[in-house]
Amino acid sequence: MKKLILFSLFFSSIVYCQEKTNDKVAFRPDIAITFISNFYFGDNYLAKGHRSQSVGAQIKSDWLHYNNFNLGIGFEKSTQSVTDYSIGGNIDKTNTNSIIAYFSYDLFIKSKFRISPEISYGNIELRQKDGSKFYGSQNGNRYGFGANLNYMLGKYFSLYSNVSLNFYNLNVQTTNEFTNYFNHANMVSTSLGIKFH
Amino acid sequence: MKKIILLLLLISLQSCEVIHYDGEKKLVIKGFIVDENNQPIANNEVNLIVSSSGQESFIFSSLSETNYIGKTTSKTDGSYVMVIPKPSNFGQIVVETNPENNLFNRKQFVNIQMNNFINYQLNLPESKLYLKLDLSILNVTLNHVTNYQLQKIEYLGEVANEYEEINSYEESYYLYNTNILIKKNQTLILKYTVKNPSTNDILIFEQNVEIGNEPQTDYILNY
Repeated sequence: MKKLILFSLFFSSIVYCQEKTNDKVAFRPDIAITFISNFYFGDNYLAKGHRSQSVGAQIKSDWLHYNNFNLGIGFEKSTQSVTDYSIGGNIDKTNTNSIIAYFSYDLFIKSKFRISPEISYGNIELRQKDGSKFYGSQNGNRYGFGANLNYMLGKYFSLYSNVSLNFYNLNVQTTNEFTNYFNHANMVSTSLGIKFH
Repeated sequence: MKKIILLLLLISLQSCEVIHYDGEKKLVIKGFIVDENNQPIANNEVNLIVSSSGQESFIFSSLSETNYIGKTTSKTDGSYVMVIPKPSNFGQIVVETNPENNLFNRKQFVNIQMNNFINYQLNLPESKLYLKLDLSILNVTLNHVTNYQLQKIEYLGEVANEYEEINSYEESYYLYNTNILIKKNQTLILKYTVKNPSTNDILIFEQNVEIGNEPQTDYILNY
């Protein structure tokens, strides 16, 4: 019941509007479509068993705004070529799918330029394929922190970029020797695209 | 006629088994490769093949699926390690520690099953490879001169066992192999087991077989 009251209070304060308000939670969805490039590092399967760079696409959408705080969700899909066939299998590539929720703060706003530090958390799925043959998936979660950079190009869209450091925790069961190797990954993600306001 | 062909195709495709993989469970396979002098062989290609049970159909001889899921090379100490996603719905796993296209004899560990893995790991027996030039083919001709029934033949000595069963096949293709690769210039012991059908007594005999330097050795086993 308490949860329901809190939930009602929270959403009663949301104002459905298109103009930014500073003192109320505003539902004002915008969307950023970007190309991403991830660089994996460390002693783990994605960094050492694959080409360290993966490429893909990302869609992020800010939904709620309060003062300078923003809350949103994002979807990401990237692909990475396997290079070490010994440890992991004679597989062509690994596709990574992510869904994240993120929280950002508009720290620096000047004229058309805005920098927003961000933290994110979400689910991750690695899907391995060789041609049309599916070799199973690995699931887990990811978290990260970084910063968004926006440069307004017009009234309704801006140049959008993100740089972040991310960590994966996966749920692979194997021998003690390889558990850590398969269950963790670290990567620096960079993205560039357009954000529609 | 078209309907009959389609029906036959559907029936035959139904027997095709698809191998599935669990990406969240990784199997580790380890082993060693040595030569006939027990010296490690480095940079030797090792492959792992997962195949389905290969249901026979009356249209195609076999519809088995084969996945070349493991691939590595041996290190300087002769050791090799492979990690693969865990397969399910498969017939057997085969580890080939030497293909046929090099100086050494072919070597495969066949019929590996999930129960051979302990805590996701399988340690295979040492894989001993012989130079093809040092091998002779032993052809044993069976000559049935008594009323005994031949049960089994074993070869004790330097034998290049090309197919080593980790689990015995349920329906063994043969109880004894009469055509094997052996090292030249040795005295091989041929051990054979016979059964007396009237008394059901089991008898074991041994015979020495001298192997020379010839690429082929013929031997007649009178039993």
